[in-house]
Amino acid sequence: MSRTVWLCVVLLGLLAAGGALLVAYLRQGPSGPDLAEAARADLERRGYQPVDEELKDYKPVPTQAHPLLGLTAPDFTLTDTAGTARPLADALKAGPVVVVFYYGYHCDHCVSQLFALHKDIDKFQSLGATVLAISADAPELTRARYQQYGAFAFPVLADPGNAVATLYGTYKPGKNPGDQGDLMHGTFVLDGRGHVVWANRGEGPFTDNRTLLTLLQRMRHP
Amino acid sequence: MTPAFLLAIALAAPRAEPQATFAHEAGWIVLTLTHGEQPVGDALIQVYDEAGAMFASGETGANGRGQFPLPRGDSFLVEFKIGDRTADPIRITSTPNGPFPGEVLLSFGLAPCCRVPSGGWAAPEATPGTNWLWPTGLAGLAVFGSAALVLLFLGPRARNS
Repeated sequence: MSRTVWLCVVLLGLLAAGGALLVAYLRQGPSGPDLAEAARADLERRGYQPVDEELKDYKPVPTQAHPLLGLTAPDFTLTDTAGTARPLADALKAGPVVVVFYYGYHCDHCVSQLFALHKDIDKFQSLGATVLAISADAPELTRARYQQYGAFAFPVLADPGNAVATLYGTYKPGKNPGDQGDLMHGTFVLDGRGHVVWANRGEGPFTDNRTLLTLLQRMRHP
Repeated sequence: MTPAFLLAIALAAPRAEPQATFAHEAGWIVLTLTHGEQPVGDALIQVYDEAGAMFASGETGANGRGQFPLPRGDSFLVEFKIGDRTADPIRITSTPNGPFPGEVLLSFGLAPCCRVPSGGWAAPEATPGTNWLWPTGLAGLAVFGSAALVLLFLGPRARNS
């Protein structure tokens, strides 16, 4: 084969590869993979199913040990995506509160718990509970993600310096200024008096809404 | 945010850890330690009173059970050591309805999920999910590199044949 033929073959290969990449780029978009789709896949991996049955016989996951357990939850006032200040105390006036510390829109598992809560939000609301999601994401970033993936049916609050996350033990600042801090996922159930009655922290999001709903149901009908 | 940072994020599913239950029985606290449905025997129990002084210590029996008198004060701390793993201490509060919490999922030095860059998160514009440019560039480089190799090694052979 002549060198010209080889060059043609190579050029055709390059064109095909470039075309494939362009198609992939256009399909994924400039923001990378679809986070909502990836979060759905993450929930599937974790065995999440929307709640559609009676929970009276469900055995909830027990609380973990936590220094705040049984104590009044640290108060906070954070800003939601509309820039409105949201005091925890206001949410507690309406009943129990589920506080979720998530990792922001940075990866599928970071945000997957919020998608799971969104699917079951009517169940939480029917039990008089408020869900508050907190991350270090700025309101502008959350708003931008809402435009991409849709808004959640509960307030998503900004804790830019992780100050509230520190109070709830889901963020541990670095030892020295400039050091990296450690962040955990965290879910807390507060009763209507503002006491922490259930807590779960860890490297993964807590996606068992059945547990949270069962706890809320027992609070309502002890 | 760098892709390396994203790689540092753990995706592990939650692990099932042992559970402890606590109950009041005639002035005593009765605890049961289980893992799945199985009792956990020979686990070291240490109980500290509200002031932080050691109040009691012992081991769970083969049935996973142990008991100690109810310490004075509103709350006390229980620590379990199972094998070489020490669980995070559990603060139990005495309530009219019994010990709170009555059931606890043990944790063993909770691992953080992720590390936050020292300068905080980048501006929203700079953090649109995964940076798609660098894998694209890398893939392009790989294609061009492969093409160059083909030209280098097969080109002369084709000419000589």
